[in-house]
Amino acid sequence: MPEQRLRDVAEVVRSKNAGPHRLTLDIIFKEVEVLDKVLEGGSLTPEKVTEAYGLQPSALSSWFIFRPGRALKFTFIRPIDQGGPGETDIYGAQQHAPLMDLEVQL
Amino acid sequence: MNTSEEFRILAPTGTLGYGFSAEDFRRTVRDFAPDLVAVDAGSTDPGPYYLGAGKSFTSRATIKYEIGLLVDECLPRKIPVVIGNCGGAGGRPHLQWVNEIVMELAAERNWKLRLGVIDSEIDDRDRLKQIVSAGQSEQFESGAELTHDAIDDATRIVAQLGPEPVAEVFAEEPDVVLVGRICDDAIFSALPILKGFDRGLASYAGKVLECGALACEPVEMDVLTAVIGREYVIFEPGAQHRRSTVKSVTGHSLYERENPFEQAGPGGIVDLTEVTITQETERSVRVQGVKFIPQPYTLKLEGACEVGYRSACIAGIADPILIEALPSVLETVRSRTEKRLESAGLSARSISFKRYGVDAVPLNQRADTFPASAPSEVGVVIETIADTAEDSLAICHEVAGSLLHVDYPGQLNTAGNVAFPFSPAEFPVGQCFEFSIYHLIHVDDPNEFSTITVKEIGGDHA
Repeated sequence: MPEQRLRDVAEVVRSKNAGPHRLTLDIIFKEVEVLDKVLEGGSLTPEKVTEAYGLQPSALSSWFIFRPGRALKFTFIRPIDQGGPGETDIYGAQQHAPLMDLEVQL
Repeated sequence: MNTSEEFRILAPTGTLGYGFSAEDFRRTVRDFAPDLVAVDAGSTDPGPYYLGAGKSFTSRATIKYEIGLLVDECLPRKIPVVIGNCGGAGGRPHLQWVNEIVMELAAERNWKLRLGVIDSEIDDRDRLKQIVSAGQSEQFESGAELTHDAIDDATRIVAQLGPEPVAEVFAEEPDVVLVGRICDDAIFSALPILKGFDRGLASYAGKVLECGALACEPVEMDVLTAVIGREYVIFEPGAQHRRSTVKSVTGHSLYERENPFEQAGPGGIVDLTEVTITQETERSVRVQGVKFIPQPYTLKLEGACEVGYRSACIAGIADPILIEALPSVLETVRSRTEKRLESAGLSARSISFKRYGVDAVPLNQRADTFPASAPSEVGVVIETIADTAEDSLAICHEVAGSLLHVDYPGQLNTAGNVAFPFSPAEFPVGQCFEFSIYHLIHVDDPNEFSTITVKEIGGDHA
């Protein structure tokens, strides 16, 4: 079973705020088969994604397998409330980077 | 062919002020013959500043140009135009700002129209406190319950309305409707719901339409149409080179929300678990199986609270010895500055550093570790927040000066530690706000926090 980086097997990897208190990550695959293989390989578990972000398990608000959209979705409680002191990314649009090089088992 | 079995909606773009093709819009109005043209003009995306400061994040020129396009085309055809989340944040100053633009256009273009305005800014804070005291508020993602103090401290509070106030204003047959803060789908769903179409289907259609052609291939801020039937909705973009596809419409359920299977709103949840999406023509899709699950009626409140004034300074560092020492240097700068400020009687609410080129982007700031191979250049952005604009700028100047002259182990360069691209090196950013209120309240009357006015503009009424 070859290991590849997520950026090599995903069609879309993106992050965005879902309201001022949530950050949501979308990983969309070209084929539902790839999604299924990634799930079987156990490389994109909520635990692994949370760890990649250096967050505590309690920071994960929810996660979904969205087969109609060939997608995985992870949502975190935003570490900083949007726009306040110390804000680094108002739109939350550049928070996907830690996902890019995650190794996925196909 | 418009029948009472179908309701036709045109959304010119995903955010008013961000552009769309005028040519495609005009052609689509002609050929598609919509029953309604509606557009969302706002979002919480750019943060709480705009709600708090009462300012728009889009420019007056673009808003005026686009409203001109919409009304010029729709008024002679008797197609109502609804604009939601006016001025971006949907507060009263935002609504008045758009209202003035419409009045100006009407005078310039001799429009004669009935203008409906729905204000959703909340003045009666005692009523909100009653709701809190009665246990009728819920924390919604903010992690804290709503308090009387938060209600008192907010600069501005708006209620995110459902479709009911829009349905009410249509009893007076307006040509143009301007709405303050409202659920972005409700400006699209109100009329079809009023005409007996399924609330779930109409709300779902609204949620896709509010993004314009973002649910199409290729993605763009542009025209999207929807035909709502009794059990289906069909999406098709206005531009001929764009397509609605099963993939693009399905993918939209993921966008900017937590749960792709559910769309919660005032009065109920749109359930998408049984949805089927099929390619209708090469450029259109048909969606069926949307369900609506009624819930007790809630409105979401948004309130912005000022937490001081922000200043910033950009400082570039290229010295390799300083870059290696940077984590401890920045802490030295902070502690030395804080001591100096104390002597000068200045107090900072916060001083923070962003290290561009190292770790300025992640929301989750980790322990202070530098990468093994230090970058050749680091952009330091100093952010200071204080009670007044003057203090904030003064503190920013102090921090920048301290960084410029601070000593560090192994220092060879004794002439100045940073490259300032600007003079003055520090600049005022403005007020800093937080979304201090982001809560749900239970209400019996969906219209309790909306104020509706309808007036005649132009003609004999000018």
